[in-house]
Amino acid sequence: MFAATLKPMRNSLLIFIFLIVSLKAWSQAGTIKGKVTDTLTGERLPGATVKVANSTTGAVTDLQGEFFLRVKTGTVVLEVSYIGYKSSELTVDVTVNMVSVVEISLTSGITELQDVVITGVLQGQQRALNQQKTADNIKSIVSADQIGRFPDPNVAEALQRVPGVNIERDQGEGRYVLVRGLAPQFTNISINGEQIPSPEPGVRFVALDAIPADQLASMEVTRAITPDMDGDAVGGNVNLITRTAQSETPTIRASLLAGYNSIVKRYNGQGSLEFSQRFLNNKLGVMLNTSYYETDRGSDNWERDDEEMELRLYELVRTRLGLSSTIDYKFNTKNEIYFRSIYNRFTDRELRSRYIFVPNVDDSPFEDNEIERLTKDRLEKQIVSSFNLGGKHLFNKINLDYEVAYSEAIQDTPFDIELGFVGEVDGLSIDFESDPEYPAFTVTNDVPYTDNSLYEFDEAVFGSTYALDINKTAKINIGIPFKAGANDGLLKFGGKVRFKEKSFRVTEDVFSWEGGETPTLNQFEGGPSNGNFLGRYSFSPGADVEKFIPFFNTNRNAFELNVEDKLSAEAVESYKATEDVYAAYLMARIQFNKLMLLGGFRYELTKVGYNFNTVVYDFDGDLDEIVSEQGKTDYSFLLPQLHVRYAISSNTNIRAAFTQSYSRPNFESIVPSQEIDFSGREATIGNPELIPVGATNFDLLGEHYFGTVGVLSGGVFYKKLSDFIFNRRFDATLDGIDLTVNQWQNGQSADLFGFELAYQQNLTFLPGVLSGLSVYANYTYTTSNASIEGRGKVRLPGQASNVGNFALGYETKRLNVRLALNFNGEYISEVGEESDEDFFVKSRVQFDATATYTINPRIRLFAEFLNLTNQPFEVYQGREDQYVQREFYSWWSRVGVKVDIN
Amino acid sequence: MKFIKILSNTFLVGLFMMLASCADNTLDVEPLVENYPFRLILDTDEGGDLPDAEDYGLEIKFADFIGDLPSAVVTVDYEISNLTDDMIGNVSIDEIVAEVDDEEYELDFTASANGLSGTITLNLPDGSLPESFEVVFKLPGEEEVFYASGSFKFSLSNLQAAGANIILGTPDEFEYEILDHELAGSWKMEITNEDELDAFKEIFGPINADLGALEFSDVMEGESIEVEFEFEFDEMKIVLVYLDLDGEEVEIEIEADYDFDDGELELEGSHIILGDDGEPEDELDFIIESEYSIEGSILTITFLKVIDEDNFKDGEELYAGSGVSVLEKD
Repeated sequence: MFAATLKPMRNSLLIFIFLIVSLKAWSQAGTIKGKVTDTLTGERLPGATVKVANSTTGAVTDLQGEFFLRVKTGTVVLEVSYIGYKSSELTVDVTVNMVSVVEISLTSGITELQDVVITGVLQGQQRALNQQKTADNIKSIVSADQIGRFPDPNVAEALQRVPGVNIERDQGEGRYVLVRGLAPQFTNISINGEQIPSPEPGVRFVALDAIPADQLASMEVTRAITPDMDGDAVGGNVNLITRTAQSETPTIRASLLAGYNSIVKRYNGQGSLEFSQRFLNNKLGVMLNTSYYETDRGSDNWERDDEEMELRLYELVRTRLGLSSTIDYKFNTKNEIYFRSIYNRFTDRELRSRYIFVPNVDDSPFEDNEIERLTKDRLEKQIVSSFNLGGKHLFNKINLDYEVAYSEAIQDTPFDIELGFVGEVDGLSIDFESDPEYPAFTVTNDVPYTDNSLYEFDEAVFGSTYALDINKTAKINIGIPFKAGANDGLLKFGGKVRFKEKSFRVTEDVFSWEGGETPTLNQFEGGPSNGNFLGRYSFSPGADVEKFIPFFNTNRNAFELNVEDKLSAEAVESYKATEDVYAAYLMARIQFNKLMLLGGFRYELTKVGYNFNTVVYDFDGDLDEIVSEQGKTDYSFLLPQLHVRYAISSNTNIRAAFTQSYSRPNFESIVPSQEIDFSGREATIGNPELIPVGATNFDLLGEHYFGTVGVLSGGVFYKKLSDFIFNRRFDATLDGIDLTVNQWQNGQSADLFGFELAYQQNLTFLPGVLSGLSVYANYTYTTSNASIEGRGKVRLPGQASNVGNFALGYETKRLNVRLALNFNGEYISEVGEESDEDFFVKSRVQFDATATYTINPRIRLFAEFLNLTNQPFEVYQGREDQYVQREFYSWWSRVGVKVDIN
Repeated sequence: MKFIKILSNTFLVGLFMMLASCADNTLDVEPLVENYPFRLILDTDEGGDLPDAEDYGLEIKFADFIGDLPSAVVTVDYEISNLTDDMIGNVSIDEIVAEVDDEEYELDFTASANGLSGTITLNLPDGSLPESFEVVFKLPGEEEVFYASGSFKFSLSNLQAAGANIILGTPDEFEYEILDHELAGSWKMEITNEDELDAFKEIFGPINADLGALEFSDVMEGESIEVEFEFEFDEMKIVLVYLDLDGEEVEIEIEADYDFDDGELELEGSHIILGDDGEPEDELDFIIESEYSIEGSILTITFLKVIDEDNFKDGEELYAGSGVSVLEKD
């Protein structure tokens, strides 16, 4: 599936693995197991480097700040280093086949330098940078405390601060993550290392606004995957890591916030509570976390569709409930088991009121000047839960870990109701040209367009949907430490199976009025209105669904159900699919003096089965037949991976990676549901022949870490995508009839090249009050071209050329203030048949501010303000001044208190 | 047990939060859309026929539904009211018939002494329900003998369905009126040669592919093409009948709604656009503008313009001119 030119690389890897496995395993060894903590706070330090003096033997502490080392028996000296802390040494006696348990405390260098109250903010940054520095592969890590430095309520918003990551927004809030400019389906999303299913029907990617940021201990964005990771991650992998109890001292963290949203002029509330403690002499750890967030939001929007213009007014109430727990039990220093669970429930009650102005631009005798009034009231619930049970064991000559996991994602839309009314007016014209930012429309009529008695009932749509995605996973990893001369190595292999079940069920009831006098909108009006909508338009109340439903219920004799629409809509969209994945890998890691090599292969076999419906309309446009069908497909990939890290100095690394990965097609693309309309000569057909997108990735990165907590890094990356997937519209013949067919198809190839720069540092070296300044900046440039039949070379949809962040912080003894800019460059959202039909999302700069005041180490007050400059979401078609959408959210805020008790 | 207390308090807070998150997300009243009832309705709420009509059929049917009709004994009351002029004392239900699988069944109904009210039992002899049936009214008209006038109303009420999920829908009332305007009825003409056919095709050929393709040489030698304009209630038909070269009768039909006033006649309908493969590709609405005059039994229509949704601007019409058809009352 990949180019033949890659064979030498693959062969080199095979030789590397062969040499590694032929080397000697450890003999006459003992084990050192320990943890590294902060002297002052007692908090554990993940990512610390623990090294046996005068050797290449070493380890890195895990997320719990723990490590283990296999060393030769006798007396050894451990050297421990951590960015922002003074290095330390410890002498340990090691006996054969025994475990020596140690605890190493490090003293913060920053504390001494600045004499500041420890706020936790710097510590979070330290932890993240240390993990990043000591990682075997190229990744960015964001710790919980660092998340707290930005006013980001959900995971997607927090991830936008990471270099090379941009986000797609919904109602102003981040929802989907794009890594290095690749569309959301190219990024693998996992919780605690295990891929989570998508609650949305048809797709694989996860809407990360469903997950509150304060559920997490940290987030990892891996740009170059290793063989022990899932291979379907072209853009990278985002891993969300939940918290774990750290100390025998009970820890309670709580926060209480109130917020305000300017556009809907309503207040919001948020609270979180976390308890964690270790019991039974540190053997049993219990962490329980809960959070709840409710926000009233809104947006004012205009859109253009050809010659039609829409005014849209949104009001919504969103809630996020998060519950998570981690229970771990350490039988002894060599054996532990854990059970992690996370439950996230996101609800989105959306009220959408619309005017659609449909002018009779050609003055056709067959058309009228119409204004449509539509109101939608919809509740959507997304529930993502995951349960992981696993264990880790250290035997004398091998390391073993395993896990079984069950995760479930649901998108339940119990009601999705839209009421439509239509009014005819004498004259209607729209001027899109004079002021492209705000089109002007003129309505000529005896009754003004804002008078709801003008609009007669057209139709009512009562819909509901239920999407379910379940993953059942089991995996095992075995590590065998070995020595190659004086150099330490680890041979690792393992396997994994994942069984996925995904289904989607749709109910759609469309009713028309067959009674006497047609009802008019003024009979049901209610809800939001705005006489100064977007500063220039008038928006009357729409239909209140709560007023309409009783009328509907008492007049069912006059409402006719559109049976054909119901049958066809429900049949076309509904499906069931299964996907079984079998994976195995072999990899080896070896540490020379300054050079670390990690290489291996991963093999993944995927088997897909599905049930679907074909819906056929006859030449009169009537529903002809619905046929239930089923099908299956399978594919496999062998993915070589090679990572190199060279330490120029203790704080400077050069990294390089060659990896291969792929991206599975979305279910909605591969399940061959068919809608064939012979009267309209149009068909939408799934493509069971669709194959995954393959990717060959090269990365080169240099990074230098500052002792005062910070990093300067820069790198380049190149990706070659094969069999790129795009939506194609083409002419075909079905049953002897010429039709236009819409279908997802594999394209030819696409190239993606870019570079990343990141700089963050606390400027403690500056004199006087300036020493409290800090800078957080990153920039990613990406360019791409994809070959698409009929269009030649185009930029990859979703790929922004320029993405970046700049934040300036200032910290005093108690006050921490940060101003943040997030820049998202323009990108293609939809490829047209011609270049002037392409849709672009315009570049956007969001300005946020946050301030924290530390009363004491346990109590912090904070205030956050987002989107201070009311940046709109803008889409244009073809040329930059031809807007087709401008949506405004105004600013919103949160003010609250955070309490840590331990 | 401090730990247990903290644990329970934490989860109580979590539970409270979960309940709170549900608070604003219910509808005050749920729409009754599940198991939507079967609706018995009248096919139309108004209709009519010529003054000499002896009977009139009105279709009563179940609105589109999913699945099978329930098994139940269903009755519905009817009433004939608002009778005027000649309709008084001369309207009643003659029969009620249902056609199922090409078999015709009479449905039972009881009528009052004056025949103006009664009860219809919808069930077929095997107890099942027909998807539709026709109520045939006996009218006062009698061909060549009596030309009636007047109107009446027919309505359904009080549907009983023995627990089955069936309701009486709308329309449940129907108004009948005599079709007695000047265009009503059937008008005929003959096309006897190629030139006449070409002139007719020039007007109507663009909205009917069969007519557009017809050549006079396709007609059996010595025969002509009979053309009939039938003006019914709100709808009209243009029917061409001829014998082809094999002696088989061929019929070409154009349907349209019509509107007329003060000598102006407008026809509106839709026509199929065929693709290169000869199969339907699109369906477009058309409008035919014309003027008419009637002298005695002669109807003269002057066709001015034929347009459709894709061809309506000046100079783009499907037809523009002053073609004349002269028809004689049938």
